[in-house]
Amino acid sequence: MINETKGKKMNHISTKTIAGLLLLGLSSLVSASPESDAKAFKKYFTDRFPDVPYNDYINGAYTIDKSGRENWEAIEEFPPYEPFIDEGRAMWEKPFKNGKTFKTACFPDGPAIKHKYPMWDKEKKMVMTLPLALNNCLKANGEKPMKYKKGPINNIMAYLAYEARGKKINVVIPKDEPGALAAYEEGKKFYFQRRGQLNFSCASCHMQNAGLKLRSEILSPALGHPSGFPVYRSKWGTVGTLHRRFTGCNKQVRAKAFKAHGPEYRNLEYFLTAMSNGLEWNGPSARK
Amino acid sequence: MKKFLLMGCSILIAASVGCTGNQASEEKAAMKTEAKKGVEKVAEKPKCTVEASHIVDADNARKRAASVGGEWRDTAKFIKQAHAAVKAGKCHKAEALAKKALMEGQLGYEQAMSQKELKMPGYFKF
Ligand code: HEC
Repeated sequence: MINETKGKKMNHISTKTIAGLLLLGLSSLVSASPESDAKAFKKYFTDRFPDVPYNDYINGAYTIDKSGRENWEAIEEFPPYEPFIDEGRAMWEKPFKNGKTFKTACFPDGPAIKHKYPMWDKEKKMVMTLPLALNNCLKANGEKPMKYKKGPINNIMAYLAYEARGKKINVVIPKDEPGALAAYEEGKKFYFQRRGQLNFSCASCHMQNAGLKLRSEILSPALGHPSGFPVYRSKWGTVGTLHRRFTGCNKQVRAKAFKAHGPEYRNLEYFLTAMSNGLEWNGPSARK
Repeated sequence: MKKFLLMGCSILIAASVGCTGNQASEEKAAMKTEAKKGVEKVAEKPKCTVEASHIVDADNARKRAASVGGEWRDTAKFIKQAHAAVKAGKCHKAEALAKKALMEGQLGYEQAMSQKELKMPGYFKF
């Protein structure tokens, strides 16, 4: 196909222009992929649930669970995650032993920084997530890193999510960084790979069966998935991170979970969040 | 593959039956001697040597699955329980757990390999 175009154009314009055009064409072929994926992702859900306004996809299962929604809206009026936000603010402001704070040591743009993650770290050549960046900051300043699934990480993530509410999800996969696209592709593959004894992929539940009931829960649509995290989950009795949720979903299909903020889940977060580009960040939120 | 599994299983079964058979008679003999001595002592636990080697096989299968991201949730737990069963001298239980873990390791590996290339599902349309 590309060669054919090349052949035809040869007759009319100089080879230099063609080289330029080809380069453009090729790079847009490669880089079009995350964008066309996101378009197809959005289309899948908007076709499937034509009555749901697009901007509503930030609300997890309550996007489509009409009966659960009322109850949830009542809960959100007195949000159970509020104390976590306050604790998180205190963590953000509390100086390290060296006198610096998260802001002065590592995140000068903070506290509204959550919307910048996950991002491609050009120096480390890997996907950087916010919890990992927070821990790197702690370590670099002689502080103990936080555990990734339970404990104080949820406080600071709740606070940072709150501060970034209303910002647009905008995951960038830089075109001049082949590693970034590769990481995205890995995350995408992870999403569609079947795993565990039950042989389910993420997509089996959150795309193909979205809106159906699994035991007592309505399967939420994947579109908008990361928006509300961290979430206060009644079942957990506390706030939990996105990677804790990934862990739970892997275990549900009887697959061994991967390490929180290891390469598999970081790439997964990169892909999954990029699919929701254009929606708003809406964390923290409450779930049953 | 199925054939291979079946073969593996029948070998395992044969081995375990043979082995526990021996253990039973050994146990009896041991008990007799103890009784003769007039010492009130519990019979020595069987060693489950064959079963222990099957646990090693199962753990290798688990590691192979893990190397391609295909490990299942409970495989390591079965292996741990199998080790505990050997320690307790429960060779039958150890064998059953090792067998289950081996199968999971093999299936997890095959599953991951079958998904190595990304195949987009039919409902995802561009
Ligand atoms: C067996 C079905 C199943 C599979 C497979 C599955 N999940 Fe889930 N997932 C659930 C259920 C049930 C919930 C809780 C109800 C809900 O929000 O959908 C959930 C919740 C979630 C949530 C939280 C949504 C929210 O707004 O609170 C995220 C994010 C998520 N899953 C991501 C994933 C990812 C990523 C994978 C693949 C690694 C995956 N899930 C695989 C069943 C599944």
